[in-house]
Amino acid sequence: MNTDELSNIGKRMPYTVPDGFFDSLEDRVMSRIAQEDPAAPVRKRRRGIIKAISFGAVAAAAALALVIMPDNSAPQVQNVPVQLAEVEHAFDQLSAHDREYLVDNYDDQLLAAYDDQYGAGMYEYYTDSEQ
Amino acid sequence: MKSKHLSDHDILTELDRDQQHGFRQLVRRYQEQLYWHIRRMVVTHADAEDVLQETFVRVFRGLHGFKRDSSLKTWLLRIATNEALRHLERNSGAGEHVQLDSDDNVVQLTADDHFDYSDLEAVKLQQAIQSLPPKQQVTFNLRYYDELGYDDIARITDSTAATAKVNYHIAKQKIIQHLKEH
Repeated sequence: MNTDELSNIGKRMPYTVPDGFFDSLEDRVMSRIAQEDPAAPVRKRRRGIIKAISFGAVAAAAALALVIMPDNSAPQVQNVPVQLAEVEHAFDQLSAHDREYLVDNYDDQLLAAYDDQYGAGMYEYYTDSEQ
Repeated sequence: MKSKHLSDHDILTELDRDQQHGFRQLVRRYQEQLYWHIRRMVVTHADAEDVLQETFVRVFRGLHGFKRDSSLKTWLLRIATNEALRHLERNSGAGEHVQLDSDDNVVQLTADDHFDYSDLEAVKLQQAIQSLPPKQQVTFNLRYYDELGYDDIARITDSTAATAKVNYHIAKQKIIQHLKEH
């Protein structure tokens, strides 16, 4: 057998695959990633927590304003949802990389403290709202 | 547009917009090429599927580390190659470390249900490829089947383009010699 005969074989291979193997591969891969990469839902949950903390900070600031300036409090309280929307909007404007960086590097102790204080309800709301 | 025809730029843009959807596009675009690259290394279908899935898991975890000034295909083939070598190492029996630079070939052509023995010439060619050391095997496969340039092969095999070129020609000569003798 010489080089010409190698050319004659070309790219033929004796390997075969089950029928429909590649059609269903994508779903199997995604399923395996979901099983083996618990970090993905954790990141999503942490993102929700960060938004919830941001909401908490905005609400606290508004409440403080109520105490300090009672005459002007009503308009500021009405602004809270707008401010939350701004936080969400700003977060969503970040690049995927920056979001992941923020989520990955957010102070763990702060998140844990938030866990202890508020439980899961608030950030589950945010997590669900992203789906 | 079907994912098979998407460019790397399209896939990367979609990954930025929606990671889950973008990753599905990446899988659809590259699953066959990566599967056959891995299959030629590990031989059996079951092993190839396992290594391919592990490759995609690693790709998913490493997406943020991907430097976008390099080719997505080259990056994926590099991960697939390393994953296949890791698999061969795990299954070598003696726990030995299988490196690209090793002189030993680890895999023998083993029968499974997804092997066509009727094409004797193709069987002999795969036997000849499997007789090569890992680095020559990978280099030959990437050039012969995937038609990659030597620069890309060098990036995948951690060598230089000149070394990749030499490895390919040595591999080809050995294969021709093996085919003559068998």
